[in-house]
Amino acid sequence: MSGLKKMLSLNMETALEISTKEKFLLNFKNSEASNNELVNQLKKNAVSSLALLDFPTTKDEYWKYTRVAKIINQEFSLEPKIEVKLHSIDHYSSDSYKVVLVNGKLQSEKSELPSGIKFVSFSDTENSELSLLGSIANHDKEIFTAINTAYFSDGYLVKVDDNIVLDKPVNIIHVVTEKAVVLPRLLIHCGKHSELQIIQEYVSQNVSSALNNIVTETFLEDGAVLDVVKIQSEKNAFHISNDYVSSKANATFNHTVVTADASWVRNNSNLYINGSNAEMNLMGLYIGKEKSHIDNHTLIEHLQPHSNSNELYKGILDDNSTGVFNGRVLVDKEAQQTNAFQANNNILLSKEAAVRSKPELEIYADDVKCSHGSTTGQMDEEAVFYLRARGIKEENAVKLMLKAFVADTLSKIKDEELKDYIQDCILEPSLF
Amino acid sequence: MGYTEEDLAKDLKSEYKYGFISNVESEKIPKGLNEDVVRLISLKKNEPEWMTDWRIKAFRQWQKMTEPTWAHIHYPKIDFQDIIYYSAPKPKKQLNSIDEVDPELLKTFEKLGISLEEQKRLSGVAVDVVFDSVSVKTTFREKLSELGIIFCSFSEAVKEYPDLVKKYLGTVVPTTDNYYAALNSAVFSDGSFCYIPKGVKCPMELSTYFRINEANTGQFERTLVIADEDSYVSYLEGCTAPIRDENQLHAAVVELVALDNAEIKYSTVQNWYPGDENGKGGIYNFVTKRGICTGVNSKISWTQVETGSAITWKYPSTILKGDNSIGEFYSVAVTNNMQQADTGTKMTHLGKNTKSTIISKGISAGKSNNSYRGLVKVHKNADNARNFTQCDSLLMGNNCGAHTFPYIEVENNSAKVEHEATTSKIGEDQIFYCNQRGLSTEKAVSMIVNGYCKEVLNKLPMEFAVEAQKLLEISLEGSVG
Repeated sequence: MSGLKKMLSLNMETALEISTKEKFLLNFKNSEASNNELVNQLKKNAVSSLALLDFPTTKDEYWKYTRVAKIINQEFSLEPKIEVKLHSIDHYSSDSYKVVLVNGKLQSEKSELPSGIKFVSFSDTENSELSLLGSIANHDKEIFTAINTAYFSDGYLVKVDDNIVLDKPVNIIHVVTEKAVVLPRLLIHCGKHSELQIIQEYVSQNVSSALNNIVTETFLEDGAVLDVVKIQSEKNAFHISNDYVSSKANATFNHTVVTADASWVRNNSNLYINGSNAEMNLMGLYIGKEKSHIDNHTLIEHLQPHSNSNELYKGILDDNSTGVFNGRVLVDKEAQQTNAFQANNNILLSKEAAVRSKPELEIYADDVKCSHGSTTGQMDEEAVFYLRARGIKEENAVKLMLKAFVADTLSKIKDEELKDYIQDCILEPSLF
Repeated sequence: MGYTEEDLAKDLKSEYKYGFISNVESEKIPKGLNEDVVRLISLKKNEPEWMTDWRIKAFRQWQKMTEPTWAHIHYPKIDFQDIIYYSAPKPKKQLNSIDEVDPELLKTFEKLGISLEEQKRLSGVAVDVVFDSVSVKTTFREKLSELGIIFCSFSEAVKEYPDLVKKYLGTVVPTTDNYYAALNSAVFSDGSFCYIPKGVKCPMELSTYFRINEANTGQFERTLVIADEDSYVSYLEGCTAPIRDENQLHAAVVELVALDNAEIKYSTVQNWYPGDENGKGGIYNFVTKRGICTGVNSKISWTQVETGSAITWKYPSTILKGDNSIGEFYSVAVTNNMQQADTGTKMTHLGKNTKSTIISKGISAGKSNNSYRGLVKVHKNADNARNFTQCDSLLMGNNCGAHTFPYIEVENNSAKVEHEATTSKIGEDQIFYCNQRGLSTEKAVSMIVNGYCKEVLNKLPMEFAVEAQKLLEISLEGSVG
């Protein structure tokens, strides 16, 4: 009798376990098939890997400090509306090609698509141009990538031909307006010696608990230069971003991610350096307030010799917020004469704030220069006093100090106007 | 203590010099592990019932646990039924003086360079020798007991000072702590016990020498050091083993307790047999070491030089519970050939104004992998905690790996935590500079490596520092070019 009982309860348990994932996946049953065979095949593969994956718990090393349970147990709306009043949203309005995606869907009438480069949806793209899709986004290992791959309704290809230098930045504004699971998918392909600047702004409008689950794959051909600036300020939303970048020789990739006024963010940036003399700069700045949780995971794999990578993440954490930084640099046996630097600095402003920092080096080549550093501390009272002694109000003194602290994380942004925008419109209001 | 060029030349030629086997008759129990074996070990040691129960409880917990797999090491699965859990040099009677120790055994120790006779006369270091996990001889006991210091084998302590053992055993490393600690708690055969009473500064260094002699055996010893209020002790530990083709398991537990204003300095020179250049044989060193600064103003300092073992899995940690307590960790870990090391420390800040320092120097050569893994955790109430961590790695050759996995968790905004790490190889310009001045490349490398490790070696007591320096040179022999 007791044996039977045990069996029953065991069955119940497994049933419950399944239901979390199954229930969550119910959100996507309506996903329409694409008219592109390649995309359909990829989606099929992702569905079958999803069957083997499960949501991570804090026992998974990769998710040690970030819980997803409270997200996946939410009820989401299946067909989010896509109306939005753009003028009511704060966004970077200087000269740029504006592309508006509402709940993951392109709003052509509100957008000004760039000329000179390709910005098209997958369904309007030929197979040959999509051959790279899904090639580095590992849907067999990362469940959120798998969900995106299996169920995105349409994605967008940004393609820059060889030797093209775009005149102004492309500003992609992602708006979430409803409690829905949004699955934006981007494929960025930069041709040889091309130059492109992309701004990605993530904002939310009148929502609570939307889940933005983004996957971006980026390919840099020889000598390509790509600058990406991400501004994440989705209030009351969950944001999971999986970025995959593969670079060939002599390419430059500058990535700056600014997270402020956001509720819950998890960024996974994965960089694979497949050519020599490449240069990768990863900059991050996160400001946590109230109960926000901001988690930045980075992976840089040096697979070829003579490349440089530079990583600098800085955080200011106030109230009950928590910050996580996990940076991993892997130098392959082949990657001799690699220079890799990694730094994470945090300031805790309140007694309840916490930070977890895990900079990792994994090195298999000897002729390298690699270092990392991590610090956590508080405002320098003496410096604040120095400023106050010179007639600066305490509040302004602290602000000034904090601005100085984060300034170098914006150093890779070439566009001064954009830098000013971030400083004045994103940082200024969120610092106090 | 002068170490000349000739000595170096000799050492460089030598391979693992502690690889002899002593023909000491020993008493073993059959291979395998079950509850009866645990009871048998306890019985053989004439242990009181509470000790047997403690072991059985640990064993049952161990059965429910699984081997940890998170470390950056790879090895075939260990068959825990294929190990002899108890091997002791055949017991005669209780030994009263050093003359009664088996002469064969004494010869062994002479070969090891820790001749008890000599130690006793010259260096004034009190030694507890643990041979295949049974303590064979403790020197200087009387002199120490005049001061009220207890320094004896663990089994004696269980019999003679049960209250002390009961009070502290398992308080720092509970039986459920991890897989190997649970295993050790169930089957440990002996070890050292040390108690420093209130206000006593131990006048000499206390030392334990561990040796695995018997084939197919695992060594499971347990060390418990208690420093009562206002006391001080410096404790040394050394390890060697014979050369054998098969892998042997060493799973020890070390517990340190420092009460108010007490200080414990714990130094280890670990030179277990590392296996040959193809990775055959060698010791699996899976050790749990932890100290707790229970009292205010207490201090625990770990110093380790790790040159041996096929696999090292070891994180000497300190829990800084008392206000103003201090934790230190100085480590040199060298891996060569096919060796793998995953070692580091944990500093847990609980009390106010606690301080910790971590200096770790890793050197990898041959086809080895050397990882630093450390945790610095500042809890919510640990106001004004301070940590400084530096871990450097040196790579010699193109087939080895050096890795750093630090975990930094800060939950208090008055904490100051710093971590920095570098990885590089020996600069060609440095070697060239030495070559110019007539030093061969090999000598130059050994000089540079010694300089690189100086910060840690300086923390070792004199005798150990010399030995450690020699060990470094031998371990890295032939890894240049």
